[in-house]
Amino acid sequence: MAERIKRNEILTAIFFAGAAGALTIVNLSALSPYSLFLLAAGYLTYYAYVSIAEFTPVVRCDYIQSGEGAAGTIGLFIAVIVFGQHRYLPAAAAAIAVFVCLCVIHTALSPKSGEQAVFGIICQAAAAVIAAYLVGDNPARLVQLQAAVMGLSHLSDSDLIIPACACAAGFTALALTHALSPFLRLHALGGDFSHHPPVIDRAVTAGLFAGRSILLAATLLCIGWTSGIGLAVKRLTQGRLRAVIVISAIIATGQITVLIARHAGTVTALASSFALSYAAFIIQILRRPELR
Amino acid sequence: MIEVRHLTITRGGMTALDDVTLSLNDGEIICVIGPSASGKSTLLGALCGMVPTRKGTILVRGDSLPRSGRRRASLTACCASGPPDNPSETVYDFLLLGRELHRRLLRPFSDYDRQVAEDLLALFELQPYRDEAIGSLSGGILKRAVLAHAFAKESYCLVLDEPTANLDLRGERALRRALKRHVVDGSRIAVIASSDLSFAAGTADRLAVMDHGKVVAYCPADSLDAEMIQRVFGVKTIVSRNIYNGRPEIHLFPDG
Repeated sequence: MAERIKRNEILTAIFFAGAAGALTIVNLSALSPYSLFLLAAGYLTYYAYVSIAEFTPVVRCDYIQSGEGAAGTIGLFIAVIVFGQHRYLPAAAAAIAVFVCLCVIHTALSPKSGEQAVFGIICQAAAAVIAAYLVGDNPARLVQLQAAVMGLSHLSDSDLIIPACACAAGFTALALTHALSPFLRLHALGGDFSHHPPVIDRAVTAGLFAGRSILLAATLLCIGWTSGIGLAVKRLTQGRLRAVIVISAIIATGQITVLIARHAGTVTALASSFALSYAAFIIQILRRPELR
Repeated sequence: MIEVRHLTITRGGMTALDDVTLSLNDGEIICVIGPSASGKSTLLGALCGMVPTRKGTILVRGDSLPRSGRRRASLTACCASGPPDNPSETVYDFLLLGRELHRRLLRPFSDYDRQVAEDLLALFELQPYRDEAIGSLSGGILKRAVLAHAFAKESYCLVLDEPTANLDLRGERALRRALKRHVVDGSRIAVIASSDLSFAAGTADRLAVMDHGKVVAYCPADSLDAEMIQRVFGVKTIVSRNIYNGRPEIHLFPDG
């Protein structure tokens, strides 16, 4: 049945798309084409991550709240220190750290967003302590940490492999989830509703976790913690313009953080990204009580 | 036709089913009744292939039940007992997902699938909740949605364990109508386990009365009487007859 587009939906889409466009134009002068490509790849993988989250309802929070971001960033940071200038091992380390974190959430926590958010805060605190210990008095490591939390877009690197792989992963995930949507949605209802043997259900869960980990690792590499409201916006909107609203919101918050980072530094930018993400998360749990 | 032959199931060292033999005919609603821990849910689980059977056989249309997958689910489908893990699906989409069993991979849902979902929305009086998230529904409405999801599968044998739990009168009426519709063309079977004896006697064509893992009676629902209930449940009851259809209605004595 054709769904009518509501006026509120159009206004929201215009607001977010306008904000995303305006902020990108403001930032254009300061960003190299490579940085723009990297950011675009990051927004794509983050959107794919948000889309795949629909099929893994056991994790109720976005990556900043759930602790996946903290685990991935620390994995990335440690791998950068251990493996030196190796380009691709840190990405793999981040993906493995996120996968381990997802397994802990899946096996040890109840599907309650409050419980998962507390776990996320514990992960962030642990990550902060580990990061502080590893940085010590070493300014080079501070730059590496900055890259781990803000993505690589501010570095004057021109390695096209990482954003190209991120784009490929993002498009593949979106195409696969679109094609297999009913199958995955039935799987997401739980074992009682699925007609597949338990071994297939477990394999699908593991596959979704692996996909989620790869997408988040790519997101952390490309945009870091600069945009963490995608999942909340997706859950707060409905209708035919949902994808436009979610993508615009992701780009807008990412570009706000980049702008703040340019003028007020990484710490302020990170704090603003955290504030936006937690504000969106709180609005989500207030307006969608069934997701608490 | 489903034939259960000499089925014995042991769980945790206890005999849950003891040499059960039953024939379930097409076009019939069979209700399994009995006191708690008499083996009702184990029998239903075995019919769905959820409980492994080591001794005895279950033949569905002459063949043994496939171990798992779509083929098994299209033969025997069990209604979920708990709420779904994903509370974000709308009621309509939740019902449509019941049709996933009949959808070909990479193909969209057919018009028939959508029609089935619409019909079940109407039958279970769920239209006002059509676009609401299933996680936001009350217990009774969610139960109706879960039952409608099970009926959407249109499996050969639909298995429902305590379907009236949490249901109000409207829900019970809808359930009775859906059950009749499920078996009306004489090609399908519905098997229910229920502790609500009046519902069982009023809805089923046959009753399988279980006690201590054995089927102690397999009889037309009309033949349920106070003596049988006292023998199996150890409770004195009055069995009256419904003034419209003559079906048994079970009442406890007011003084217990």
